[in-house]
Amino acid sequence: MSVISVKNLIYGYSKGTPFEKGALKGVSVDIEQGEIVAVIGHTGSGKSTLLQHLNGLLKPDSGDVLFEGKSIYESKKTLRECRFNVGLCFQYPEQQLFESTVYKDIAFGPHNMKLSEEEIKKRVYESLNYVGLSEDYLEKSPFDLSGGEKRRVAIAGVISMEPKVLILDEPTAGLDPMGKNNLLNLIKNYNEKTGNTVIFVSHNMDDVASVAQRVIVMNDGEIALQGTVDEVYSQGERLSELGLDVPEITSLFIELKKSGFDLGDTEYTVEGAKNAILSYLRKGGTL
Amino acid sequence: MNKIIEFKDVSFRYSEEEDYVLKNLSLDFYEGQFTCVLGHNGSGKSTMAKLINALLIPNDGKVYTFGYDTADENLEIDIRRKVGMVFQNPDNQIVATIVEDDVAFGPENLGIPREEIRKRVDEALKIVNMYEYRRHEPHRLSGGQKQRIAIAGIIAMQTNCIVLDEPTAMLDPVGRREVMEALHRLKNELGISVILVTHFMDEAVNADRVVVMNEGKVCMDGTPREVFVKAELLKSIGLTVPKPLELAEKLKKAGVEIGGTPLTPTEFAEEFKKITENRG
Repeated sequence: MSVISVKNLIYGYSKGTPFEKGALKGVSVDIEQGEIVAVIGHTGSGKSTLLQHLNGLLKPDSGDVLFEGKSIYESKKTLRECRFNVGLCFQYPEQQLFESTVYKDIAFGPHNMKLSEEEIKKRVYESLNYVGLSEDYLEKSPFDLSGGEKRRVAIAGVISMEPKVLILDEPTAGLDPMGKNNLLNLIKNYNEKTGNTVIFVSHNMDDVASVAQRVIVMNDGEIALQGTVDEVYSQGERLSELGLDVPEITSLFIELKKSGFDLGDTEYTVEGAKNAILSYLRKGGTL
Repeated sequence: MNKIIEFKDVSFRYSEEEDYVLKNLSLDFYEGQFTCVLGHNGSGKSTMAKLINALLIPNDGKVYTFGYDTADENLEIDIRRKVGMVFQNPDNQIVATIVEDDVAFGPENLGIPREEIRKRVDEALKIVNMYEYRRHEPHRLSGGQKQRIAIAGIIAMQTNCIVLDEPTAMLDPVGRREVMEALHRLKNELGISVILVTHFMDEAVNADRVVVMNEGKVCMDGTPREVFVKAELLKSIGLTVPKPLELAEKLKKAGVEIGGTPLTPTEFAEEFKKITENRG
């Protein structure tokens, strides 16, 4: 059974005003237990609107969202259950830190779940470990940390609720290359260790390629493309049409093919490209 | 080349309890150049940028911007007429409710005559490709469009230099491309010196000069090619190199004699052609 099923979701902003805009125009998608899904699309494509439906923050004009087979909008109880099971981390989550210590900030969610103090403590330590921060941070004020550290604390605050589905909206935006790598490893690590589903939004095609198992491309309120990273990235021209970047290695491959080198399938990682070129050269391939 | 900005032995910290962010930094910027400043978070690059137009004042040492000592409060206005700044968050720097009013805000404060402002605003909006949006409301624009409005506001003040602190960090790929194109037009068509602080390596590929900062000091300085060829050093301070170069380096290690320092896919394809021709 899919962990989340989205059924023909329709949602519009600013209804009844001249600025009315259809943000989702009939989106259906199933998210499976344990997968890492990337949602990509240019600004205004509807990807954040879609994510905000997954834990019931927005209510669709029509359509439904099922969590483990049950409509999340059925009652207040199902909605509350969904909020604890589907953890949504907004863009720039560090702006939402508010407690006086890192410990208290991470413990806020588990407190609301009315867990025992002992259980809360356990979860705070675990989530801190997931995001790669040491215990020395627990008594610090979150406002004294660097941008990348703040973001990790904010994400730990969502992880501490042990959501079955972790949703991150542009988790790497504004981070430097090292901060970005740490965060991508965090996603992989959380998924592998807990077996929980992770859904994340990114503009960076290289980031997506390095962690996602499945890619959903949004355009103008609809799903324009979806499939494995290979399936989606091989459609370089279609991606450009949709206002997206092709990974740099993909454009390098397209360039090489244009020059007459028959290198086989289009690669999108440095490692894959290296292997493809080496095997091409070994075969004695020349112009 | 004319020196426009001069850091002389500059040290800076945000408060006495904190460590120094910049340590005896000496660095010059030159007229008409497109300079990219790279560095990981906390390397001091944003602090350096804010010292250029007297938003921050050094604790030790001197910053001279177009010859003006930034520590002299009386010169603040003169300095800001020479150097404009654009920040990361597009939503934090728009002041008016109509695009052209926003662009006119700077020149109005400089007391420039009305007709002249009209002319400057139109020209500035055309340079950043936002002329057709001149009567739009800024809050309905995309991030990339907002950043270009902010850039137009500085062009309209006719500053000689523009400093941008990670202006594309919050933008999508289309927005990033639009902003980068606008910046290269500023340099090429108006001769404005551009200082771009970023951690996107690909934005540095087309710069005239790349300065890499680490721990409050300059650790590399040269053309993009001179800097990126030192991949190991860059990686050791938490930065990456452009993907085509990374691929070339990996192939070299595996015994493929690919030459040069290809920074773009096109350059890589050219180098690759050479080796296959030699073999053939």
